[in-house]
Amino acid sequence: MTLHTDDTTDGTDALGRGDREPLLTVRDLRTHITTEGDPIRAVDGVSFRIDRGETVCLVGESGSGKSVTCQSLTGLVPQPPAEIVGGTVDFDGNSLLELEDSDLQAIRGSHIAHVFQNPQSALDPVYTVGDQLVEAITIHETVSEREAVDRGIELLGRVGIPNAAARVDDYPHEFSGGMQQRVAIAIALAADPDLLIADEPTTAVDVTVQARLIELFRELIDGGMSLLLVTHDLRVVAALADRVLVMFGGTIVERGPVEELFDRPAHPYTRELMASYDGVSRRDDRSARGAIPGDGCRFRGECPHAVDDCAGGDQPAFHPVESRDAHRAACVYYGPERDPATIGDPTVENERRLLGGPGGESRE
Amino acid sequence: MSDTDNTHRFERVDWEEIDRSGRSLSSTRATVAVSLLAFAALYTLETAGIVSLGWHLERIDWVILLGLVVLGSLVGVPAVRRPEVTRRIISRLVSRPIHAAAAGFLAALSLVGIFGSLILGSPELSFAHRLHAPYGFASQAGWHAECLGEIHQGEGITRYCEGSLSYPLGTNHRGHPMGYLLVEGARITLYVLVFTAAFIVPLASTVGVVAGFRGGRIDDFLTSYIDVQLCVPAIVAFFIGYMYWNASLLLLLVMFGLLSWGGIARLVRSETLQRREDGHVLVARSLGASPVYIAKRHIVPNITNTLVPAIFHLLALLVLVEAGVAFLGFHDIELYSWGSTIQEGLDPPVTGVGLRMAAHEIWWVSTLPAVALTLTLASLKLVGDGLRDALDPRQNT
Repeated sequence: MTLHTDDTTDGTDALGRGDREPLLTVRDLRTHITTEGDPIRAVDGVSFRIDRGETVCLVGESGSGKSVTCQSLTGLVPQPPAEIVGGTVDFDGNSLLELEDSDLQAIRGSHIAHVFQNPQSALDPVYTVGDQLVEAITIHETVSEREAVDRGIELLGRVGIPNAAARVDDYPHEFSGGMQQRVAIAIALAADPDLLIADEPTTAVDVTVQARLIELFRELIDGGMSLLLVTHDLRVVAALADRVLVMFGGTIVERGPVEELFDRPAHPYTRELMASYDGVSRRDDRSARGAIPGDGCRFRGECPHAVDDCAGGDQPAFHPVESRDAHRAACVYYGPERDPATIGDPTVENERRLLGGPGGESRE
Repeated sequence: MSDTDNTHRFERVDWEEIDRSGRSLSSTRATVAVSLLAFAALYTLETAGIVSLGWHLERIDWVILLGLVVLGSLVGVPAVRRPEVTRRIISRLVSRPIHAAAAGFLAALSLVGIFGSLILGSPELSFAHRLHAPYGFASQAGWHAECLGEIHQGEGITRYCEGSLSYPLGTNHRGHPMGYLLVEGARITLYVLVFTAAFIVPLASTVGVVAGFRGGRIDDFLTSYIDVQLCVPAIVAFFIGYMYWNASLLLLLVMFGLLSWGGIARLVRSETLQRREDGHVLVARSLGASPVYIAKRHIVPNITNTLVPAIFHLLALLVLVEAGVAFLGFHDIELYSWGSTIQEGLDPPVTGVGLRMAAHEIWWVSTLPAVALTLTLASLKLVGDGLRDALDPRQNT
């Protein structure tokens, strides 16, 4: 059962990034959500690691557990109905899941900050933008109001709000959606966090704003901040990520450096995800799916190559793809007994996708 | 990560905790603590007879004084700390003439209620001057032993006494000046308002927010309690109390106040349930805000839309209940409530001379407090609506 967990530790250590210090290490995280029937296993044994100054992207379709994973890390996920039933989250020497609420509150914002998907609801309508920036600063630091306001203006300028000094006294409804998202990012940055967890920050904004936000994130990464970015926009992944985690059905099915994963997607689900991507839309046909199995490989119900070994137990172990330790897939075909070539050559599929042939855009 | 690093990290976390609680102590809470201490000291010294305020304070007066301290810390301190916000809210409130008039009336009522009795004091009861009409009107001359205005002959044998400037609003059947009765009524109305706003509304809001925000068993318990409490008729509880103790304003306020907040608590709870799912609440949590802080800063200000009109509705309701109970005669006989004055005007007791007068002949005794009561109720409703709009920055007035 613990096979893949041990393997993860090996895997993360074998990423060849010994020069970097691990900032966040997640092992076998499990978050269940209580419903009237059986609990939903929203996050079911997720392990990954983020180093200082590193950008990790979490991709996958809606409902695959990306947001719940992010919100479980700092205990933000509403409990109940959710419950973190297992795993560890080590952040900079603190075991976050074991901390008292008050200690967690001290880490939230000041060390780990979040940006959420919907900018329209991220800001409190009854306070000015300046008030909310001052609040974010003063929750963790004792500074004078004057100094906090000055820093708030500086933050607004940093995220690209023109004429920031005049706009601090405006209310959220006086900002556009893209502006609101930038203000939300400024608020998240207020206490200078070590790790920013951004949950689809570019989804609700238009393309030009997206480009500016990507630029902003790149500046922040260059400034030494670590970034966990949830997105289903593969362009954003390509632009920012060092490493990519592919999530399906509450589990991570593949992970690797961004170039390798893009060039040679190994897991059948990753290939399907890449194939369905046509630049703007994304695979989002959860309603068309049958139930996702709760054991073994979660994707086997739809996988054209599924075999008996895919069922039962925990998810398949992570195997190196093309003998690369950094790039691994949780698929039995990459194990020692099988030949990955039997499930097709991703480079061929890649080409077919680029040429718009079968298996490419026609899927969407 | 080495062990030393660990300790370092945890120590820093602790210091941040202390910083936060320390800062919240220094501002609002300090003011509240000082005013409460001052109140307690004053109460102890005055009741022990060491310090005299120069006039006699009943228990109800102390309760209301405490209420003023509570109101001052809940509303006054934040208003003074953020003058620009206060100024904006007030200017938005008074931007519509009808709301400005209503707010002005309530402000005047408060001033009269607080200072009116202190300035006027208790006028001497001059029975001889009873039932004078307001200035510019006239009453039958035979009702009073001494007519201060001019007397003129009406039709037949009836002679009329003109109202005099000594009693610009006239007098009632005991010879109390109507002005004095109105001022006393204003004081009682203000007592009702202060008691409700300072004790009942915070209780209702706190219960509602806690139930909605915490959920689970706490919510179940509080909600069931409210349901049970809403089944208890306040008037019955009041009369049971009335049988055992003397009629008093405090009894009325406690009985009706403590049994009337369920509606607001329910409203606040359901609003809180919605608001706690808002994105900005999640953002506040992600920034490291504590639940109490989130409830106070991000939940309550966002439910003013429904809470403020409901509060003012409750205020109006309790003012009306007080007047109603006094009208029925179950009030403290020493307190001249508007309700009891209206009743005396409508059903004037036969006194002394043995003359029976019709209610319309002494219309000012009932009409003046009725007008004051109506204006108060209307103003409360209007200010409630106006304040709701003024507190919502998304509304352009």
